[in-house]
This record gives sequence, C-alpha cells and structure tokens, in this order.
Amino acid sequence: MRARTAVWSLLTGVLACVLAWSVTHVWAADGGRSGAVGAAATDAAAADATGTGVAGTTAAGVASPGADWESYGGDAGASHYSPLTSIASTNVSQLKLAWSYKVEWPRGKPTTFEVTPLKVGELVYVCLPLNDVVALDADTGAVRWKYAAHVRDWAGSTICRGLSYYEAPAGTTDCPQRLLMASGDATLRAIDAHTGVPCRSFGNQGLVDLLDGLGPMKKGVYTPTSPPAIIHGLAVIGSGVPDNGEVENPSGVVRAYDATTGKLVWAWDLDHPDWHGEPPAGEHYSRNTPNAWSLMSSDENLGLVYVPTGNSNPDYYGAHRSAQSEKYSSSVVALDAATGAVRWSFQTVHHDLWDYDVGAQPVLANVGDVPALIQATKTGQVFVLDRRDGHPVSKVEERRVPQGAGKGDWTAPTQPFSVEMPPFTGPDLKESDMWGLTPLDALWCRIKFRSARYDGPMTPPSEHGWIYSTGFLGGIDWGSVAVDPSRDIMIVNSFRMANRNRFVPASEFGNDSKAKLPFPFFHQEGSPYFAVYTAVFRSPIGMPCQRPPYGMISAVDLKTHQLLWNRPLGTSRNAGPFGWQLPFGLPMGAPNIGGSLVLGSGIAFIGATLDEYFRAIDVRSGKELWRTQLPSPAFANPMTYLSPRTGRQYVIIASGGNSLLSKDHGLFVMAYALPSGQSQRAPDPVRRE
Amino acid sequence: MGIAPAQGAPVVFSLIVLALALALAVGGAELAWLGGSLYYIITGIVLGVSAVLLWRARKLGMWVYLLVLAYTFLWSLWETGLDGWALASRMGLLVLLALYFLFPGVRRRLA
Repeated sequence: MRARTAVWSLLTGVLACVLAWSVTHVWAADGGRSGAVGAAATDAAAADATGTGVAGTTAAGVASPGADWESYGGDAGASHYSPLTSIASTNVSQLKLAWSYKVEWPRGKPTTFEVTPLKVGELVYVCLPLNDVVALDADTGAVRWKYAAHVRDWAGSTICRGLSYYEAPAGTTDCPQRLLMASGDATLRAIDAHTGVPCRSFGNQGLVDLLDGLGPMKKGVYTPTSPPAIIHGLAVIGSGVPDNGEVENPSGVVRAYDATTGKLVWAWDLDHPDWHGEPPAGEHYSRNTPNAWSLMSSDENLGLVYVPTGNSNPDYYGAHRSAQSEKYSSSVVALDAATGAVRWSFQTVHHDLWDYDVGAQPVLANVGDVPALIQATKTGQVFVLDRRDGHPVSKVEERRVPQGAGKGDWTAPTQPFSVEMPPFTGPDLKESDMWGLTPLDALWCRIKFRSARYDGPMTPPSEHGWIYSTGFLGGIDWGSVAVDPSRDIMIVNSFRMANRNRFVPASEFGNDSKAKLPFPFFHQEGSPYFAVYTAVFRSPIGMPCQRPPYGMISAVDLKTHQLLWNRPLGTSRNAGPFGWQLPFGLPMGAPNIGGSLVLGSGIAFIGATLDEYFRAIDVRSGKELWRTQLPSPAFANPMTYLSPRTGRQYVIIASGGNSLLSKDHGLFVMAYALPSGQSQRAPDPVRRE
Repeated sequence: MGIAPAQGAPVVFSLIVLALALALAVGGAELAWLGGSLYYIITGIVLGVSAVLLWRARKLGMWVYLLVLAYTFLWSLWETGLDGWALASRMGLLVLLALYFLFPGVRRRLA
C-alpha cells in the first residue's frame, strides 16, 4: 500500500535523525565511560603504608610541592592547580571512592554545601554549614577532632566556603598553627589546627565580633561566607549582605585583623577613605557600599590583597549610589596589605544594573613575563590585568552599550569588553533560540522574548521588562577559573541562562508597602519602583526559554588567547519540566556552580553540575576521562593532596547540593584515590614544556 | 452536514490536534502581531484544517498533518540548522502525535 509506505518512511526518517543525533551526542559526551558509578567505600587505604616512589614524599611526612592544600584556591593566588602527577590520564579511570564523610545535618534543612577543604600534614579540614569544623584523617576520613561553632541563632547564612590556615610567628605558644574562619553570624574565629580548640589569645577567647563598627542593623544581614585572605600575618575579610531588600544594608567595609591576636589593623571603608581603623566614637562604617562577599586572593611579594566587589542595593537601580560606590562596584580592587589603601582598581561593569557583581576569586598567574591577575566575571568575560598596577595585559575596549534604565536612573554609555580573550557569554539570543519541551512552551517563550526588551548582556532595566543573558546565575561565579602554569592553559566552566525581569508598580500588590512579596518578587527600596520581578527566563512548565547548551567547559591557551576546546559540561539529568528531576539525561550542558581543579599530570577535575557527576577531563583535548556519580550535586571546588603516611594522592569534593536547586540527598565529603597497590607514580604521558 | 464526528473518525485524536491547533493559532497570532515568526499561526490554521478533516474521517486529514510534519522539519533546519535540541523542541510533540497513524486500523478507517 503506497500510503503506508510513505507514512512509514517519513516517520522513521525523522525518528532516525533524532535518534542518530541523540546517540552520537550521548556517546561522544560519555567518552571513556567508566564503571565507577556508585563505587563502594574502602577504608583499606591506611593499610597501604608503602609510600613508595613518590618524589619528595617519605613516610616521615616531609612535604613535597602539592602535598598540602593550604588555602581555599590551592595557593594564595587561587590557581586551583596542584603539581601532583600520581593521578594521570593513564590511570584516572581506576579512581575509586577511598572514603567519604557524612555531615550531620538535619534532613530537609536548607543549606548550600560549597566548601573546599584544606589539607595540612595528616589532617583534612572541612567547615560545615553553620560553621562547625571537622578535622579528618587524610587516609581514612576518620574524625580526629570536631569544633562546634554554636553560631548565634540569627546567623544569616549557613554557607561556609572554607577556612584559612595560618602559622603564627615563631614563639607563639597559643595555636602556633591555626585555622581562621569567618562565620555566618558575623564573627572571625581562630581555632587550633591540631586540637580544634579556640585560640584564647585571639580576640575574645578565639572570637572577633565583626558587627563592631557597623552600627545598628537587622539581625542576620551581615553574613560572611568566604574564608579570609591571609597576607603578611593579617586576615582580610569582607561579608555577604542580602541582595535587593533595603538601602540601609550594612557597610561593605573590608577589614584586616592581626591573624595572631585578632586586633583590627586596617579598614577600607568606601565613603570614609580617611578612616583607617575603627570608626570614630558614635559613628559607623558607611551604609550600603559595595560589599566583598566572595573570595579574595593575595600576593605576598607585592604586598597586595585583591578584592572582588559587589554592588550597592538594590541590584537593578542605581541613581542614589555614592561616588565612591560608583567607582568601586563590580570591580577588582588591589589593597595595600600594610594600610588598606587602594593601590589600583579595575571596574568590570560600570554602573552595574544587572547584579553582575564579581564573584570569581581573582586568579594570580604569570602570563608571558607579566605577573597577571585573571578576573573572570558573571558577564562571561575574562579580564587579564597586570597585578602590579591593574593595567590590562590583554586588550580591553570600552564599547557603546544600549541606553535606558529606570526612571531617574542612567546607563553607562560604554562598558569594558575583554576583546582579546574568548568570551563565555554565549551568542546573543534571537527569537529562533527560543526553546521548549513542545512547540507550545517554545511559542510562549517567543512571545515573551518579543514583548520584553532584549539588547544583549547589557540590556537596561525598565518597567516594560527586560531580558538579559548571562543572567544573575551566569557567566563565571565564585568557582572562578583554574590555571595550569606548566602548560599555560586556563580551564573555564561557565553558565548561561537568561533572566527575565521587570519593575513592578505597587498597584500590583494593592499599594500595600508592607506586602510580603512572593518569590521571585523583591523590593527595590531606594528606587521609584515598588519591586522587581527577577527570574530565570523559563516557561510556565519550567523549561528554560533558550536552547541548550547552558553549561560549558573550555580551555584557553594563555599565551595565544586561543580557545583550545569548548564543550557542553554535564547532562540534563536531574532537570525536567514542572520541576521534575528526571533520573536520566542527555548531554545538554548543565547548570553548574563551583569550579575546577587542575593537576600537573594534565587532567582537570570538576563537579559543579546539577547532574550529580564528578568528572575528570583531559586538559589538552577536553575529553572526559572518568566520571562518577555523587550523592548530591557538588556545588564546590575540588582539591587534592598527598597523604604523608601512604604517599597516596586523593582528590576531594564536597557533595551536598543546594536546597533551591537539588533534592536533599545528604551532605558528604567524598575522597577518591587509585586502588591501594596501584602504581603510585604513573608515567606522565604529557610532555612538559 | 452536522457537527457530530463521521463514522470511523478518530475523535480523541482529532480533538487533541484541534486543541494544539487553537493554542498555536492564538499564540501565533500574538507572536505575529509582535513581529515574530509566522510559522505558529500558519501551523495553527493548517492543523485546524487537519483536525476538521480527521473529524470527518477523511484521510486527507492525515496527509495535511504529515505535511505539517514535513515543512516543520524543513523550517527547523532553516531556522537553527542541525541542532538536535532545537530540532527536538520543534519536532518532538508533532512526531509523537504522528505515531498515532501507525496504529493498525487507523488508516483503514479513514476514507
């Protein structure tokens, strides 16, 4: 029958196309698919005390380069690099779970587990949500000591990204080796690295109250989440504050405390450049100045601490901002470690109206002969600056951008673009990029796309509604980038998902100024607008309005600025319509939070994706070499170390997800290693330059 | 000629196609008004025709539906090229519904 044949041919043809595409893509992304999913824990590691053949490491525990992980980003310059080579592309497929540590945390209690542990000597230090700290045995994960933080019950955030390790000057008897932590209830704490006991000689019995000098405020709005930067015996710290909300937010002041005594040494308060310490009696630090919530880095030789800054409230309106706030918002600022004075600053977004605060930790690396600072941003740009003076190493161009903004507000005429570095913003959106599970939701997205203003990443805010990408979750956030200095390769993971926003008049809430706003509406105090609606641009069934990919991982040659490879990172697993978390996935480039780790052997490790995988990727080719399934997404940066007892290399990742984005499967610290008895030093297949 | 379905007409399937057609036509009209793609309003109308024909148990209804499938495929390629995700979004639901025509007896009942 002719009709039958025609129907069959057409349908099977189309299906074959779709299937062929799916299969080739899935196959390609799986690459060297490993059987390590669900690997069982082994605790036999401690028995393997051979420690043979690891250069520079002996059973006595003499450290070799990379044996320890002493600061959040691997080093004070946050390269996220380890020279270790035991785990290499030849053996990475044999990685197994060596131990895991389950965090005691009430089921269903919201938090985000973003910690990168430290490792010094035989101990792995992990700060937990609400700032308890555990010290784990490097080989077995057994708890050696535990510090209970007992944070004040109004702590504004449960997040602890990490700790800072500090060796006090010779002769210090109380806590000669100590851990410093800024807690969600606004204290700076010092605890003994060997015992977990608070350092009595630090501040008030181991505590410094960071609320001092800030003036009156609501409880829980001043919430540090990142570890202090350590430089020249100082601990330098900023803080998180709520987005949007109010204009009476506490100050964005950056303060340096003596890491031994806890005494305030200097303060950088934007609107009071002449105050160098505590505010005069009866006064307080300036309100609502751009805050430094993320991770700083430091250069001991230059005596500079590099501070990524946020923005004054509210996020989408800026007519009221002070001149100083305008100058230093969404910037990276180099402060003199001795005085807190500004040595230089570089603004990544002028008059930021998009919540493009700088979250990425500045990464210090040499680019050619220049001591450089690599500043990645939420707009998906990577600026490369001379870290001595802030001058661009790779060309930055001021380009004209669309004009507009809310009533009484203004738009910067130009914005800086890092034109010689590849952008990670994604292409500008077109109507044909609108997407959905079906033609119906895609049509809804097309209508919204056509009804709102869209003029690229710098589309100005308006009552009419505006769409912009990369969006507030997008680009490169606090996970930052990793740099392999032996190959001059930078690994970048990025995320692009547009936002759809609109200013909302009070009439929509019955002109009730005290109305409690439903998510995702936020007050815009300080602006002529009652509130803002700000959400990921997605359809009523919860599918993103733009087509995949969303998450990418890429490598850039720092010498030539060329993109070496660029691939979607992660699958659609744990995503789906109506908020379903489907247990299977196609390679679509997943939402990702957190960054990567690069090893001297030329492989990068990354969790970060919503699909709950932890992956090893070849730095040269981008090929996935190994992956394993985690209990929860790893919205954290991995770290690595060598055990001094066994000489074994471990790779560690925190897997606990984020209450907003993932289901609660528990919080874990996962440690991976090659099976005991494996050749500890695999031949490095990658030729060094 | 009444509004009741003809003998042997795929009633439920026709109604599904009709609902899809209406949604596409209404939304497509708004999109066209906003200066967007005309594909949706056109497809809404053509699928509407298909639904009515199927309601009358006319085999032409199936051919009209398959015509939509065919030009949607070409339109997808023209709009976004060989992007599997883009193709899946545009084709998925239509292909899924078209599987109905493969059920035994369906085509026989259509005149």
